[in-house]
Formats: sequence, structure tokens, C-alpha cells
Amino acid sequence: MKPRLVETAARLVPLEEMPSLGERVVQSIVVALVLTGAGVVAWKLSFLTTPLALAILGFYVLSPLVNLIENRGASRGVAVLIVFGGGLLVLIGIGLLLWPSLEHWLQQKPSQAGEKSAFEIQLGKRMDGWEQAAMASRYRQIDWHGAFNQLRDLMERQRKGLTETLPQVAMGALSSAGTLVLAPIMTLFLLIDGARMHKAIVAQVPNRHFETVLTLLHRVDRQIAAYLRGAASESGIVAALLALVLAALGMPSALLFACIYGVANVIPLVGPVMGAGAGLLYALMDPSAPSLGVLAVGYLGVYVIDAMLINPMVVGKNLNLHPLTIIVGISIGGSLAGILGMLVSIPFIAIGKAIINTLWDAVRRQQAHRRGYV
Amino acid sequence: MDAEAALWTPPKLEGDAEPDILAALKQVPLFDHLSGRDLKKIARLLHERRYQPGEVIFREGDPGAGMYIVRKGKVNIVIRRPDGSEQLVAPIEERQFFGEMALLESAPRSASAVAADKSELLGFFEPDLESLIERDSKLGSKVVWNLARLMATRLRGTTEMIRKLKQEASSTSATGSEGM
Repeated sequence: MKPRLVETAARLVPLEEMPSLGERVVQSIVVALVLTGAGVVAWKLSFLTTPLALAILGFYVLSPLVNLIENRGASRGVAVLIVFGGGLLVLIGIGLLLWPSLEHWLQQKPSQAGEKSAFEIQLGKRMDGWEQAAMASRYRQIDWHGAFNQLRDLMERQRKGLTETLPQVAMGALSSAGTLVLAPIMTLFLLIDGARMHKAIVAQVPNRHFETVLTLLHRVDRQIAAYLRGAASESGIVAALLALVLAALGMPSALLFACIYGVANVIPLVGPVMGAGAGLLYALMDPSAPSLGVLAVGYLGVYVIDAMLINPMVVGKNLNLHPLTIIVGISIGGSLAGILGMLVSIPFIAIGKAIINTLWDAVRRQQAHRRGYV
Repeated sequence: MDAEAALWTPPKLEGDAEPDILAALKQVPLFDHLSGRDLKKIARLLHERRYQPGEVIFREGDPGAGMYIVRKGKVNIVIRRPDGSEQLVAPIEERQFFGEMALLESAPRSASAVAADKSELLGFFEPDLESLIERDSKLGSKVVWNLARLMATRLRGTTEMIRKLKQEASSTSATGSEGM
């Protein structure tokens, strides 16, 4: 088709109007007011923050499965129900597998005044063994007895603190359970109607910025999806691998400790230490557990395989957060919402970084285009 | 549930798309050979946009995001010449479309699009095409196949035009040398 060229004297494309200083000031004030208002609303609805954060994570992790089933001809609603039903069955399965270990823990007699629990007795025996070994070593000039007594006092204080704090933690978890129930419901709605909600939101964007906003949202969405799905897959694979390793080493409740490590693994740097710490602490107190050295080698082996093979293959180009950012993020997350906050903080920092990266890239592209075309 | 419904009202396009939207889609070669059900799925993805006369839809040089179908009104496609003047390439009337190249790559727009009248457009963008391929790959591949065919037709037209221009240029130079 030959284009029809018509020359015109009048301007057909209006010049892009640059806002005056006054308009910019007014725009800045409006933006600041809107952001402040949004902040106040978010603060008032802060009880919804955790379930919403979990729902968004659930949406990103589950949507590829829903898309896959929808692609096979099922309607969106049916696909979501299949994934939810399947997820529920998996959770029940994991629960049934974990139940014997949990039941064993629950049946432990609580220590009465002056009476020691099986764990404390075992810990005492191990510490006595270490003290004797230390005293028999060539560093006899050290006051091993005094040092171990101090260590015993420290551990006793920690144990008491933990025993007193645990009921409060349990009550806190129960009180937040009501809002946490909202998370799967929100995930369900996001999976069914996420595309329509997205469309309804972008429909509010003015024509002038529509294409830019649509493209930016799409890029941010892709980055977040790639990161979260990568992290979830990595955690799953690492947990499965560790379960095999721990079971082979004869660790009691191998699946439980593998799950704890897998979940903690979402937190870079500190996560694997926390996850391994749980298993090692348990082994310290359970006579049927393998020795600490063997366990530490097992955990280290899985960590190395994760760092060298699983992470590069599954997560690929990750968002490379600075270690200081991770530590500050974990501290803030922990102070706001405890362990859950620590787990959720890093994915959300990564999401924030993805948004900033994409916006920065878009601004640079726009400037490059303007230089080339205007 | 009621609170959810009160907070958010679904857009009109869910369920049965408006008949004129389906009629407009049938006119677009990108959606050739699609069943009514498929067209309804496409219609759910489209973005309805309204423009005032003289309002810029996109500018030459801006990164492209996708194509538009004119539902109502008229749109002018304008290019800028090196000397800064403008040329009207083509007015796009109702049920015609433009900007489809941007579905394949977000290269800079080769022309500007300006609403000539009060216009209603339907936008179909690269993210929508990606989403369609993810959720219904069969339908997505039909659309991509149509897009490839459209590009092939355009390429053939351009090649033909170049051939004619070359012929004209050679016949002009031959006439000129005869005249000398």
C-alpha cells in the first residue's frame, strides 16, 4: 500500500508542552499529598499488610501453574480451583509427614521446678563431655571449669527466656491467625481476577502516560515474577535435597528441618545459617541425632551445591542485593513482623529494587530517544 | 465478599463484549480466522481509550508498546521531515488500525498519531499479546501467525514499490540521456 503523503503548513502534532515552574510546584504538592494520603491509609490498614504481602507472593508463585492448566483448555476459575485443591493436598501431605516429629515434641514433658527435661539432661551430658575433653587438652592453663560454668549459666538464662517468651509468641501467632486466613482468600481473588484488576487500574492512567505506564508495569511484573518464582523453586529443590541428605545421615525429623532450612533459604546470607542453626541446635540436645560435625558437613554440602548449581540455574540473573541492604532489611522486617517479617522483607526489597531499576532504565531510554528524534 | 465487590467494579468488557467491538475486531487482519469465542477473549484484553481532537496518541520516536483500532472517530498519522515540517501520511478511519509493528518490538515509533476528531480507540499491546500466549497459546499463536502474514504482505508491498521506483528512475535517466 503506497502511503498518501499530504504536505501541510499548519502544525498537525501539537508540541509537547513543558509545565511551567508554578505547574510543577502544584504537581509536586498534589503528588506529595496523594503519597501522604496513601501512607496514612496503608498505616490504618496495616493489619492487612502481612496477608496482602503473602497473597501477592502466592499469586506470583502459583500463576504459572494456573496459566498452564488454563492453557490446556480449562476455564480460569477451574484452573485456580485445581491449583488450590492440589496445593491443599500437598500441605496436608507435608503436615501428615511432619506430624510424628511435632507430636514427639508436643509429648515432651514440660520441666517442673527442679526437674530437668530430657533435652536439658542430654545437653548437660554433652557439655560435660566437652568440658572433660577440653580439660584433657594441652591448653590446661585455661580455666575450662569456670568457662563452662559461665556457658551453662548463659544457656540456662536463654532457656528460661525462651520458655517464658514462647507462650506470648504462641498467643501472638493465634491472634494474627485471623488476618493470616485472609492471605489464601486474597490469593484466590488475585489469581481469578488479577488481569481484570490490572486492566481496571491502568485504565485510570491519563492518555499521555498510558503506554509508558503499561510497559513499565509489565517490565516490573516480569522481574518480580522471575525473582519470586526462582526463589520459590530454589527453596523447594534445596529442601528436597536436604531432606534426602538428613535422612541418609539418620537425623530425626529430617523433613521438618529440611522444610525449615528451605523456608529460611529465601533470606540471603543469614537464611542458611538460621536454617542450619535450627537443625544443629536440635542435634545438640537429641541423643539419637548424628554428631554435630557430620551434620555441619551435610548442611555445608547442600549450601555449596545450592550456591554453585541450583541458584545459578534456577534463579539465574538475580537482583544482587548488597549485604548491608540485606542486613538492614532483615532487621527492619524482624522488628515490624518478627520471623515472618524477616522472610518477607527480602523479596519486597528485591521488588523495590526491580521497580527502581526499571524506572531508571525507562528514564534513560526516554532521554536517549529524545536526543535522537527531537 | 460484599466488601470486595464494593471496593472494585469489574470493567464492562467481561462476559459478552459489545457487538461493535467484535465487529471492529473482525475488520482487523491480525484477528483473521478467529472464532467468535476467540474474538471475545481478545476483546477482554483490549484497552478502551478516549481522545479529544488534537490529542496526541503517541509521538514519533517514543518507544512503541502496541497497536490501536479506531472504534469511533478519526486519527491522523503524521511523519516529521528532516527540515522539521510535517507530512500527513494517512488518516485512519473507523474500524482501521495502526501501530501493529510495535507488537513485535518496542522500537521507536516511526510516525506520530493524533486524534483528528473526538475518538475512541481500542489498544492491544505487547504485554497483552504475551499474556494471551501464556494463557491460551493456541489463540496466541494464531494471532502471531496473522501478524507474520501481515508483515510479509507489507514487505512484499514495499519491495514492489522499490522496484517501481527503480524502474521510474532508470526510465527517467534513459529519457534524459536520449534528450542530450
